[in-house]
Amino acid sequence: MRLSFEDVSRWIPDPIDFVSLGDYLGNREVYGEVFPETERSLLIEQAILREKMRAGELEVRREGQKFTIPSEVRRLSKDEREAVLVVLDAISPEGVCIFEEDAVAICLSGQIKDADGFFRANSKILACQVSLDFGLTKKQRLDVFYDDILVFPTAVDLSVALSISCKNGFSILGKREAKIEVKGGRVGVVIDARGRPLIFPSSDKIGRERVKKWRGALQ
Amino acid sequence: MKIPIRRKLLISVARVIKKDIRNKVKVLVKKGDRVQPEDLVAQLKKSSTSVANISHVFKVKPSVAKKLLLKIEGDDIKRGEVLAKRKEILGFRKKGFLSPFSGRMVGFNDDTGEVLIEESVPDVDLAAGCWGKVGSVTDEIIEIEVRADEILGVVGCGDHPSEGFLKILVDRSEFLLPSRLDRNYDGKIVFNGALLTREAFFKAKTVGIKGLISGGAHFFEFETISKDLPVVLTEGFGVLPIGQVSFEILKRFENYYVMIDPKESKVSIPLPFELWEETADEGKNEAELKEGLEVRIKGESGFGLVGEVIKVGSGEEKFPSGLLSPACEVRVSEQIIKTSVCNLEAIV
Repeated sequence: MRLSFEDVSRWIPDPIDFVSLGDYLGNREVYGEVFPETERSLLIEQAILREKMRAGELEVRREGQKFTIPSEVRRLSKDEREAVLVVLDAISPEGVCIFEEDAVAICLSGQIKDADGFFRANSKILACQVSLDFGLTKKQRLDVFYDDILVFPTAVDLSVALSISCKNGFSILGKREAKIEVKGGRVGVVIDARGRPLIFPSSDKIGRERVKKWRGALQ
Repeated sequence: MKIPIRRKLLISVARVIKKDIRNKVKVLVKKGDRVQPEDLVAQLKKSSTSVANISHVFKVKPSVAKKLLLKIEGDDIKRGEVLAKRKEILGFRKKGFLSPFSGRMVGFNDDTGEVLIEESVPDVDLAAGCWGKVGSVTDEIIEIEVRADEILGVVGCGDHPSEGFLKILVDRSEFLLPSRLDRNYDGKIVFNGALLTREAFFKAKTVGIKGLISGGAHFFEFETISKDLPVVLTEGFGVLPIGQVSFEILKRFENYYVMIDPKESKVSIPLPFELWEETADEGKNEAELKEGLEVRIKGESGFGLVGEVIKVGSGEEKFPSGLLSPACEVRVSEQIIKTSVCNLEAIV
């Protein structure tokens, strides 16, 4: 699989030198995959994994709502959080997605573009309101904005009742209101409000800020 | 624990050099002859065809241009001789076209009005260029059996192998400025240092260099160079000095006849008879990782560096990426580099 500079660099949260990235990819073709020793090489390898999954070269097994994170992704991730994010970025599923014992992700459908059809960066548009019931006396209520990812840490087998009210044209598998009961995982419950189809980050400053924000949410 | 072996060098391997003699006038060797670099193996007729457009010269249609020719196909013609003539201004003035080349007229293109002239060039002598024994001699090829040292590179670019006398213009860790290249290196194979630039490549092509050997090149530049000048990169992409041992061999055989094969990414150096020796390929693909083993690092901690293993870790260690891997320490010159075992290749 031949990757372009754009394919890889859009997933890197820091500016990356075009020449050295080209050399890295070229050497990878010659010498094969290497163990990522530095943060930079780990980010590049994860970007390659995303593109491989997108192209179908690396299969993400799915049975209904249950997804299996490929072993290659686990091997090249520091923890479950990073692995979940890599898979979410790559296959951008919709609706409720269960990642084994790791996480439950609720992915919203919909997009918002400006009048020229471009992605609206940093526009605080409310995507949904979430109410979480952990079985405690008080429910947690949160606003989730478009292009954000929010993580609610939970105990592994703790049941959580979520009530989601979508706004501004967003939906969960076509529904504006949803009541979902899920069991948390090691990561917790992930609300992915980046919309679907996912608008991929660009290789510029705006794109890098978006990637940084998503990574920050899952760290 | 075992790590893969990368062969960088083959010593005194048996190879066959094929000399193209399709334009031969005379073959000067026979099967079984022992030859040295300066021995002539054949005389070749060197020819080239040039074109003169009569239609454009006289500003007439090709059918009219044909009538203006003073020569027909097969006629010999000398440089400066009138090839075509036309009367102008009511026949009071004549305009002639003088042949720019000496040779033989071999054709006229009725569609374009072009005359084809096969230029006559003196025959050229073809030297063996290497030490070896003449194998089979056919109408098209003379085979010379040689023993050669081979430097195995990692990437090649070019659609055909090339051969010529080796010139080393820079040290292994330097890179070649295009201004260093001139017509003196016409027909040579040039070692270019640690980085092949696009500018040096095109200058090399312009001055008639027949092949380039380099430690590295930037990937995005390498992707855009044309395939008509063969290039072999011995180390990979980036600014990468060629291995010390490989460089010593190149230096030792400077001005010797060498061949480069971009498809197999290798440089072959035919050896003098006194250096011929029988060698056996051990055929091993893996080596036991142990202290003292010579290795090459292919991870980011020191890509392309060659050193000696000084300590093999017992368990897994955490790297700056946050991932765990079995690690070992490699001494490169005065520096000690900690790297993952997965990013090592044994050098043979």
